[in-house]
Amino acid sequence: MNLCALWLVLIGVVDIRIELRNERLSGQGREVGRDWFATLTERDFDRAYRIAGFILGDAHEAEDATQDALSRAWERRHSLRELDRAQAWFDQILVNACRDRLRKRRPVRLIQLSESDGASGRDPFNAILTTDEALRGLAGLDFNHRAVLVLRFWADLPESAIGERLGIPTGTVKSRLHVALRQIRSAMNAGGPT
Amino acid sequence: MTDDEELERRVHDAFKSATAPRAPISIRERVSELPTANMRSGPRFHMTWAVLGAILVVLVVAISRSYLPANTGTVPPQSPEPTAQVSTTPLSSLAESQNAPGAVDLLLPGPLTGNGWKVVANGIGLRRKPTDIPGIAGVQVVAGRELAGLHTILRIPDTTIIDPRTQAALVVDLWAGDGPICGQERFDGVDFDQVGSKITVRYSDAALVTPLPSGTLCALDAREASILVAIDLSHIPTSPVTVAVARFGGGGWADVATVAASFPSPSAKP
Repeated sequence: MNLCALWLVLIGVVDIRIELRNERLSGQGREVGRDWFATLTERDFDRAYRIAGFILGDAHEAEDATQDALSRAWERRHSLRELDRAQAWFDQILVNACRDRLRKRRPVRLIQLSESDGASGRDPFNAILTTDEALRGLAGLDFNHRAVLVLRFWADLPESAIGERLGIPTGTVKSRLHVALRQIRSAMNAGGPT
Repeated sequence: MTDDEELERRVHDAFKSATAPRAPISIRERVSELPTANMRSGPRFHMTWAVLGAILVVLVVAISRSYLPANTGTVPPQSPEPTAQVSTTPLSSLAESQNAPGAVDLLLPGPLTGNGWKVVANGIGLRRKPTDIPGIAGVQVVAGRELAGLHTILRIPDTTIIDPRTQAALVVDLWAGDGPICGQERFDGVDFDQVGSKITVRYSDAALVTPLPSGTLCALDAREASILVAIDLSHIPTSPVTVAVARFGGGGWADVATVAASFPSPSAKP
């Protein structure tokens, strides 16, 4: 019994030392995250807001999602270890914030483009997505396909980078892109969202 | 260009030609509020580890009580009491600055002067690599011409801090703190044994004097606290001299390090 207790103590000491070492490492990460926040520019805010806007199709939702993402990024700034990876790190948080926004408003109301003739004048993202024939099909896409499409063709990210941000393999990105484009084509041929 | 490529180009162009709105001012305002609104002041400490630590502390206390009934944290009868001037300022200024936030100071206040010796600097810097063994100490004797380079070695600004004509230096390295339970140490002073030709630097396990609160966690590795002590050449026994570091622990005084040294006479010039 006492030997077991001593063994537990030894294991515990080792674990705590590892944890404290990790805390010191995360201390370095915290500085990187803080540095990144200090370098944010208008362009970064615009980029995040527009990605969220095109994914959500709603300016107010995009604003909330961007603010959520920035708050989460600040809380998790300890996890950012390299400044070079800050963009991918934040994009991942932003996409997740958009996903959470959509979940909160279940049943999913992507964009009611078919009813949006009057609404397009009110919401700038909605207006864009209803004006262009090639973008009109986004209304019929679910979150996964819409996010892939926006990151690929608006943010100009390569497939590997999209996979990193969404936490999916590159092959899955390609598959989703293919499906998304097929639906876009169907929507174009049909003259509206599928 | 295939149909797929053509479609990709159309979607891409549609996105790029669109004049998307700029981020509203509220987003920038939110960022400016972040440091005060959501800042967490320190590294996260997982509840799992906190619970595990608490369990470990309880286990250690239980085991120590069952195996070491005599060591109950009270002061033994022969516990040393510093008789010289006692400073209320922690000696380890550098060690203190290296501590993690909330960690206890590892070197307790002790006497700063005594008969033939005086602490002239502390927290000099890490001159050796830390070990995982708490309480292992060392001492280095510096005298005569060697004192000229002491300020460089120990990174102390005052080159006249020790007068080589009348003084020598003892650089005492005390180790304190390791693992989940802090091991504090207290510097107790220097003894000169003229008959035995021995100089003894004394320090003690501070837990025997001031036990730490139960469950205190020490958030750092073993830490070296260096103390620079000037000793008067007039008090030094006849060379060759043995310089020892003695630690008072649960079993009383014990020499933990000894070095042989020879000192110049007080009248010798550097």
